[in-house]
Amino acid sequence: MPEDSISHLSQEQLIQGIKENQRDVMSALYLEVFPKVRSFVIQNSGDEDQAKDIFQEAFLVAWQKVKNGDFQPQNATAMQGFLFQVSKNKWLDWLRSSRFKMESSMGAISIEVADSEDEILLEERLSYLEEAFQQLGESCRELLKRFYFEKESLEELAERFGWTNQTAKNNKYRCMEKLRKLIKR
Amino acid sequence: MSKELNISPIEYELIEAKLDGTLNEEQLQALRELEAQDADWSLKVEEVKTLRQDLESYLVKAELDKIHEEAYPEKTPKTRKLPQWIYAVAASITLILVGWISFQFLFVESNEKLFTTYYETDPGLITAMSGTDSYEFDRGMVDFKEGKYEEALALWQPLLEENPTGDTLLYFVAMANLELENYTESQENLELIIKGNPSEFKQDAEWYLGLIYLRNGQTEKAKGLFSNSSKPEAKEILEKLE
Repeated sequence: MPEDSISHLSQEQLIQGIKENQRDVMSALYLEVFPKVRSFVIQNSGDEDQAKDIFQEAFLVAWQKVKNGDFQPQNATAMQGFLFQVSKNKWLDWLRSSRFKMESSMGAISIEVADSEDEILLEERLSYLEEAFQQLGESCRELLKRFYFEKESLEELAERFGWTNQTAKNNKYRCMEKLRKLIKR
Repeated sequence: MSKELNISPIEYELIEAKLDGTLNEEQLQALRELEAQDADWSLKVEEVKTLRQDLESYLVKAELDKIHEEAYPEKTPKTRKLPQWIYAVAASITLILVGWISFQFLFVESNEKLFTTYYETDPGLITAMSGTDSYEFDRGMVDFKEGKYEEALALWQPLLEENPTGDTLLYFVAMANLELENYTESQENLELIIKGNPSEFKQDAEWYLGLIYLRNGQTEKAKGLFSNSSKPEAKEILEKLE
């Protein structure tokens, strides 16, 4: 499937692809919606980099909702519309927050902040996680990516690396424990 | 994730099976026992749950970055934001500067080489034939011939102040200064000899002044003096300068 087209995918296929982290589905959705978000952000006092940041944050929110089963498509372009709407809301929140900060410094009353506390905590955790993940060895990084992102089974990993199923399970545990301890450090 | 928790491989497997909803009967039984016995059990479950979610979120985010970079590569690296012509101009200026400096260096070096090759200390005068009656002058000439140029100058300078146009004095003061690498002072004295009354020192003065001009990079002035000279070395230099 060409990466730049999701028009032939049904919403169910799109949602299934997102749940399974299918690279081509994620890429097609990204390429479909990002240009619209970029236009909106640039037309509303933002720039290209801000558009990218806000869109990727929105993508993670939408991805999480799909995975949790919180998103139910109502029409043929619901997923794209939802992703755009989340991006738009996030940008408007940011603008209000930015204005709030400016007005607050001039003695005005506070209104609201852009990100919820949960999202700020998530950003902080992801930052620690990234640092810890990069400290893992190459084999641990590959194993964890294949299992938790590409959704390969332990049996597939065992076959790929020439391990027994028990070795694959032990190695996955060892890598996760290492990651957990690196984050706590 | 603040409390230090030890999670065994079996516990980890059970927690993941619970989160994935894939617990079998045996695992479910073990899970219930752990829930009852382990006070930290719920913390352990929460910790593994958060770690898995965050890891997957991070991996998705990393993939989004890759998708973005592939689809929208940066058009120009940040270090090349200036227009191309500025780099062309900077390169040209650098080239010109390097060329000019190299030329100057080679030019000065070659002129200095000619000066060093052809410069020889004037042998001085036989003191008995100095042509002056000055005791100080003769003592100075002894110093000069012994290479004591500062001492020679110390004796000659007062005499030159008394007789500023004396060509013998001017010439040897110029020679002593030349030995001491006081080129400017030497040049001034030699120019005075050439501009002054006819002198037996004029030809030698032109020769040494020509060498000073050459060393200074005043090639045309040097050529003018050498072309008047009958010295074979002057002709050699002229040939080398062509």
